[in-house]
Amino acid sequence: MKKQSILVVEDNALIVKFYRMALERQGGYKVYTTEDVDEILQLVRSGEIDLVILDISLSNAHYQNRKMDGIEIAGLIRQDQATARIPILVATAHAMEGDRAKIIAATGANGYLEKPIYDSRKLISEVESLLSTKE
Amino acid sequence: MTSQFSSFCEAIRERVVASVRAGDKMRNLDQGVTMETFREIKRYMHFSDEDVSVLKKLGPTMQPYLKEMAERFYAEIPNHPEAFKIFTGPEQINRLKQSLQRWGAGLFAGIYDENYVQERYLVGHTHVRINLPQKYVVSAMALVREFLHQVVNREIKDIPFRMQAHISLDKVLDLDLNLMCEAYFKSSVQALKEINQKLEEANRKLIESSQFKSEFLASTSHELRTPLSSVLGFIRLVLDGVCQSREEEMDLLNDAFHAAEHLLSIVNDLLDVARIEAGRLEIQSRRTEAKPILQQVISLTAVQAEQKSVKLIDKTDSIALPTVWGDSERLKQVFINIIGNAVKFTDRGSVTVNAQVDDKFVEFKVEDTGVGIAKERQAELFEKFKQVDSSLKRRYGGSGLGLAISKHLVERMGGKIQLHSEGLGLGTTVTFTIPVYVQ
Repeated sequence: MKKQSILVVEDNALIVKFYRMALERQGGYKVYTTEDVDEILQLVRSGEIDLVILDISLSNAHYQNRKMDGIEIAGLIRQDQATARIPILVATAHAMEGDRAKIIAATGANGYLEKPIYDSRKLISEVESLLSTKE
Repeated sequence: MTSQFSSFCEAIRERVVASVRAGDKMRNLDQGVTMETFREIKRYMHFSDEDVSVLKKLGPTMQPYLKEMAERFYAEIPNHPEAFKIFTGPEQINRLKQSLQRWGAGLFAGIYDENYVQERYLVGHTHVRINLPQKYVVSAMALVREFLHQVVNREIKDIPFRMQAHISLDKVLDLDLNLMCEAYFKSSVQALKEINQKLEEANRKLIESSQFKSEFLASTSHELRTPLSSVLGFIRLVLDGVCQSREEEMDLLNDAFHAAEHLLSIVNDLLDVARIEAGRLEIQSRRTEAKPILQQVISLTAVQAEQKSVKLIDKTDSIALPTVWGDSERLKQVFINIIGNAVKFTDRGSVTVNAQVDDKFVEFKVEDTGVGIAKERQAELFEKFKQVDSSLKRRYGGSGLGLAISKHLVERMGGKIQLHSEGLGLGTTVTFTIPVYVQ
């Protein structure tokens, strides 16, 4: 069976490194990472991506000369019929009361993880469960 | 008379409220209302030339009683528990008595013009200022009315003239009472307005500070969680045996270590800010040599600069720096913040450290060719917890507290700190002064 692919949208290089190690080595997934919004859209439209892990506060995400955050990126993915059904797992350090509900409502995310995300097995089981409901 | 009085008061009240709503300055309100009110009162009271001549005729008869009238008026007031305030000095009570006597003299000369109004206003305001309830003044006025009626009854034998005198007197006394009440009302409105303004201001500040605190809490939580993710994540991966070699393990542990160091620096900054907020940050200024501290910091930051291929230039080498008056640990912290920031926010080019000496201060100057900052946002940098662009913070790391802490430290040591940048992408210059030690 073909390896499933995960797109990680995250601005912190160390956290990207963690995702890569955990998802590739422990989960056996193929991992793509980028903050470039055009590249993100191109990847999800290619049909290659099975799940997107999305950070909310991003430092280098630009789209049409405008800074973007994870919420807006989720909006772009959701508004395109071809990509609307790709599961999105939000992973953010915003952890104040009410953030979770607000962000899920704004992104239409299928899953939500609060940083620090360090338990790689828990991460993988969350990813697995989202991928299985997708079918 | 009662309905006239109440409708008059209502009219005044409406005008005052409208003026307050329109945001008039109270001083203008005073004059405006006074003059117009006076005209209005005249209309209500139907003062006739006959009234004036009746009062004038009464004048010589009433003159000897005016002092007693004033005494009676103020004799009533001490029964009030707050009245001691009016007797803060015998002069004050005498002035008020004299003013009431003058009023009586004017009254029986047929004079009740603008001056009269101003005078009665003043007395009314004085009573308000000393917190004497209006009802108390009203009852003292009733006493004056009773007294004057008695005198008229005793002294004037001509019955029709006596009746006429009562009517004319009542008109003036009602006028007087109205003016007092108006003064009361206006003073109360003004006091209320002032209290309201203070409350609104306090409320605004509370809302601002509570928003600020929760934003700060949210941002701090975010900043702490990010490096914590790396610390815990990498250690977990190593423990789970994900690594394929010893080198890979060391690499991950190294990342975890640096993330933990970053976490520590944020925690230290937070503690400093908490101490500053609580007024408990201790600074122990003493004779201090700045040069060895500066050189130590430069050699520390040179490592980071080298990694980024940024040139770190020290021009203070050839300058003889005098002994300064400051806290060496805190001075070091300021150098680390300012020079560290310059290196952090410069991706190419150089960071230059320079110093200038006069007989009072050493001025340190740290100039970089880095990301710079838009002019309109430069002041915010020194405010606590504000790093200008939160995405910069993520790109460059840090608590965003360094400059605010440095400003506090420099000022506590008796110096000043300034930041200058021509704009985004055009580099930044930070200068700060530390006082020279004088024997």
